[in-house]
Amino acid sequence: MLSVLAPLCVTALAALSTTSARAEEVDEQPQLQMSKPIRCMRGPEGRPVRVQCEPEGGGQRCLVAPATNAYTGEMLEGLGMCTSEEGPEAYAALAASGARLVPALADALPGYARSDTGRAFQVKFDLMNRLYIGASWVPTFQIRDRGTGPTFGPFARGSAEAGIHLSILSPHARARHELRILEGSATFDDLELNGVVFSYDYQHRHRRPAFWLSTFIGPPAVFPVAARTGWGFRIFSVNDRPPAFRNALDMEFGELHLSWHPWQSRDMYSFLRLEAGGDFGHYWQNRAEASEGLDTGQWYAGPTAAVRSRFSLGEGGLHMITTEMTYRRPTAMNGVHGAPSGAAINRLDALLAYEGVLLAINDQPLSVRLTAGGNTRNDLVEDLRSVELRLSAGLRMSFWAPPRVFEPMPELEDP
Amino acid sequence: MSHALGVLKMLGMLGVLLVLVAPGRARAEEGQGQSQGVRTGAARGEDVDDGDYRVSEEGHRFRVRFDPASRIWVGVASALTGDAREPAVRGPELSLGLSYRALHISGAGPLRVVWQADHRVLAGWVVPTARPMQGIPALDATVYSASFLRHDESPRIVLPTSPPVGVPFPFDVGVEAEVGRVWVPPVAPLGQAGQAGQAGQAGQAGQAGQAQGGHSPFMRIGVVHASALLDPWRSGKPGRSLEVGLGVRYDIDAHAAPAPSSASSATSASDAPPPLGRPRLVHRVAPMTAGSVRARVQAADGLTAVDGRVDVVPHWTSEGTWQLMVLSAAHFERTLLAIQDQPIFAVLEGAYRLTPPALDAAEIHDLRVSLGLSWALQLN
Repeated sequence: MLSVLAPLCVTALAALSTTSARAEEVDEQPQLQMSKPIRCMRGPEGRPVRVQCEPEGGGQRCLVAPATNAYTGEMLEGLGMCTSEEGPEAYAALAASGARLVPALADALPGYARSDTGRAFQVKFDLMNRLYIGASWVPTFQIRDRGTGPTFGPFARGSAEAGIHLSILSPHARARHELRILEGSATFDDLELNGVVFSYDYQHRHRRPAFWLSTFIGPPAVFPVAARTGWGFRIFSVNDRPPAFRNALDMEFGELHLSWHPWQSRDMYSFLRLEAGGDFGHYWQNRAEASEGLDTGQWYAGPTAAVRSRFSLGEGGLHMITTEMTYRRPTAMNGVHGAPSGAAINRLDALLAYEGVLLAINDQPLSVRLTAGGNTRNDLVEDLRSVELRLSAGLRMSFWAPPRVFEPMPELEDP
Repeated sequence: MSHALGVLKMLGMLGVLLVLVAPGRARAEEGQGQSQGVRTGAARGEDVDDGDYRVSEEGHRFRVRFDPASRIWVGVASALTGDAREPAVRGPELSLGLSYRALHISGAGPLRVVWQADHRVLAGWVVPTARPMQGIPALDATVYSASFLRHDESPRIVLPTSPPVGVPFPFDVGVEAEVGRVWVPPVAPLGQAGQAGQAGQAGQAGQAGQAQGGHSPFMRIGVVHASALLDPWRSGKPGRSLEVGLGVRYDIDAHAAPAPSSASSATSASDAPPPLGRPRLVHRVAPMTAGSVRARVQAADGLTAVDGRVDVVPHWTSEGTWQLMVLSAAHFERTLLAIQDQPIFAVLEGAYRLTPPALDAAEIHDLRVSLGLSWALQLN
């Protein structure tokens, strides 16, 4: 596995350094701004150019950018609207007026930059709106309180993953909706499967109070309560063959929680969230019995709690840190194999993850993802406790991730 | 011991509640003074909107006075219940009900007459975890009850002489009635044999039926209760009265029928509460012998209210004897918070009932103390 990853990392770092050099070059050349008037005309060689003039001293300073690709000669993509379309004489008149003509790069859409050839390339990424596939190296350490004792490994454990993230900001509602669809991973060669079919979370930053609270201890007083609450749910999550219980299958059919956000960024992209709720599902100590239907194994239900956070570093969306700590306490609803009904167990999972965009291929970002996580749990039947620690280092290829947009939100949400 | 601990915990919680309320009242008075000052100066942006509402500095109008007798309420509490001679049982208690107070005022000055009508519908409490009999939790609920009090600023009795003579009459008058009250005590009464055994007399159970030394399922249905009332306090203010009543009362006590001894032992072995089965009924009738005293006090802003009553009911029973029944209850509530002008209030209740022995059941000394929070939807 290392032999595979090492060249990849070298390539990625080399690509990163190239990108940085290019970015510096690009920074040196001025660029037209899409928010200001742009005149479109023909240059001295008859090629279309885009001109943006501003007063400078007693005269004018005009940025002149070619509107065609330097290599292909085709019109550039992602250009703003021309304020005016002018004939070939306009450029000559501009030069004759004494304006200082400065070569520049054409304007680009928000989240994009232009290379010196004129090609627009994406420099900001919203990693919460994407379809991704990835692969990583996942060395794992696990211990059980009875049985084989502590084991380190499999060291050369790999994982493949895929999923769809959608994060929809609703400025008028001052709210954000987040969806995860068909997200899952499979390790090889021990084939541990983790996945969730669908999950949803809602958060808001409402300014209108949700309700008014009056107090009558002391002089009557009233306080607006606009708690940054939210809610969410999960449908059908699977954990099959975890390292400590190689023969177990856990299917969580549903989870519902309320949440509170002690901290949110202005656009709620970054947040700290506390969740409390409950879930229900089915657990098979012997996964082979699952093929015989839900009459085998054990139904369970219980409370859940979680602390989650996500921090986007910088405004480009190139770096993201996420943390998760989840607690579940499923209680068996029926007895099986000598395990009594009503038995409850504890499950605690924690994860710290960093993801950073290394490079983009045709504006589809390739990111590196590093995680450290662990969990502890005991199984419903034998009450064996396991502790599992895992690290991972891998790459994710994301598709159709749009640029991060910082849309200003209104002072008050719609009623 | 557990009974004593429970009582101590209750007293502790009551202490906390009083500490919360007592300084609050003092500050409330200060606050009232401030707000009265603001009424003329309006310097702090806080103004008295009208009697029931106030306007906050943010301009939000919020309610500061409530009618504690006009609401639909739902509450949860921790209740300590049981027979006075046995360890108390603590459990969660749910309460709910609807009450409505209507005031009808006519005349003015010395001719002012106020009718206060209090209605209560489907009001009561239930302890879901206490099941003294199969399928029915402990509860006390009333289908409908009402109280009508008439306050006259110049009360007098007119004697039909010629000319008529008006004799001052220093009481407000009224009537109260109650229909359809169901009471299932949390702990079923002991059989008399059991009571003897508990007293160390090694009772011979013999053929004492289902109550062979154990608890016998029991419930009471209060068919009707009606009293005429006199109020010597004559406050003329809503929710403040001292009512002395005398009236009629009809209750039916339903005791479990004797079960075969084998079934009884099987039931005992499984620890499951026995069913009421085909009950044996004891009718209790008080022919204008049901005496009562009730005191009600409520703060002018309705945030605090106290209601206590004692009923002493000598009555005739269908067993052909006269017996004495005692009922007492006290209720204290204090509004602490309101969400969207709907109050949340702390409630402390206590009750004691003495039910005389009947059939093979010993007399019942039923005690109940509960402390909890209720949320109300105001109707007035």
